[in-house]
Amino acid sequence: MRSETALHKGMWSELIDRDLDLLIDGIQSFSDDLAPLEPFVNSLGSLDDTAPSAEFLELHAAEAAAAAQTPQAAIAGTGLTARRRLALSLSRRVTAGAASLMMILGMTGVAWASDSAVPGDWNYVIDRALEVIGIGAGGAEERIQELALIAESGHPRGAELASQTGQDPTTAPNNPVVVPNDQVVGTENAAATIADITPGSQRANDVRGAVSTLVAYLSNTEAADRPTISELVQKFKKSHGSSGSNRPEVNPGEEHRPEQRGRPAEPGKP
Amino acid sequence: MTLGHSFESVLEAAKLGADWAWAVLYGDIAGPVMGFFRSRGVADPEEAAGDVFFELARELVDFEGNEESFRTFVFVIAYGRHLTENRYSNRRLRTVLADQVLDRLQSSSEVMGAVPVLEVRDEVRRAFEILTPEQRDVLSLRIVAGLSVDQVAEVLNRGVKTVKNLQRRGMARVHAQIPSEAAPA
Repeated sequence: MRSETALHKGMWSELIDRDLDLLIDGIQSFSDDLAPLEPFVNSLGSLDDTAPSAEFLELHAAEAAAAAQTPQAAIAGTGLTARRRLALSLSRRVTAGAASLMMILGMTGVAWASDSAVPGDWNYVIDRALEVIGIGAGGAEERIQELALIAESGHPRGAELASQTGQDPTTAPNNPVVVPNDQVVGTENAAATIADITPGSQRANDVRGAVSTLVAYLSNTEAADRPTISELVQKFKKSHGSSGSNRPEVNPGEEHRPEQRGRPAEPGKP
Repeated sequence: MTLGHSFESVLEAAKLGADWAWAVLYGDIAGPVMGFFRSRGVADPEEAAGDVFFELARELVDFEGNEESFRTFVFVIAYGRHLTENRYSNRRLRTVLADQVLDRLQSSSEVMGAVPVLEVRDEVRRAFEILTPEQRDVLSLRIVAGLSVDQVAEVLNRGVKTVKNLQRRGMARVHAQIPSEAAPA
């Protein structure tokens, strides 16, 4: 024990900093003098072991996602707390988001299925994933329009339910829009296929990141201003290059934000 | 756990409000955030973590940086949440480790067989109690949150040297609470 006595006498010098860092970082080569501290460090460090429950994850992830989409001005100025307002609007947002996802999956599936991306291209994983989806060729523009209507109705399953029950869609709950059943099923299968890709994997994240970017782009673009599918794909690929980074493009026309590594506004302060 | 190469795409998707991306971010960092709150005696760590992510969602659009700076960013918010609770809560600030912390300390010492269970439990609790709030902040962020000294300095808005001093003095205090005869040979 080189300096145990010294340590217990409080003779800690800056020389011990390196060993403390090794101990705290879990590197086993720290000095024996610090061994008595190891149980303390290990025990304290184990506090982060508790993984959040699936229910907790789902609730807060949805809440955070909704908050990320909500302009600051939209949640200010009423008596309700921001979180409460978001909770009230969450189900509607989730429904609309699901419909939007189905819409873009339908479009991208057709668009990229015939694409010539090769292994190594940033969008190769997307091509492969969408080939797996197998939405089928043709009818993409119509599908976009139909699914946009479904999204606007706030009831993505409404059309299918209406077609199954024979109910007049104009009087059905939420005034759903009738679309061919196979297209609803096809896009739902597409969404399910994406969902089946191992969560957290590089491939899944790449695919989902790109799809999310396109969803946001479409949601921010008036239908009349939308490019055709081929134009959109070319534009999207051109902006990334054929073998560029994995980083999806932000919405076209969106302002570039300068890098910020500073402190955010302190929470809790008005 | 880190996201590595997928971090950028997850971050971009989270900025766009994708649920799945938030679930990935949450799964990656919720444990350390809740652990930080537990170590600081916050009554409801899950609720506090939820507040942090809600605030993060509102701030994320202005964030640019790598995964390391993102973790710093998250804990800046978490630390702010902790300060806010301390500042405005009517509850008496807990200066002892939560029961669940003590349970973990107990089980850990059983496994390691270093010292008798109750002795470790009491000694560690006593050690943590005698730390200054600043020392507890540093040790919690370093050990529980897994941040580097530089990251802790940024979270606390203090100098690196100050953080190192707080870390050293805090660990010295803890060390002083552990009887020398209890130390493993």
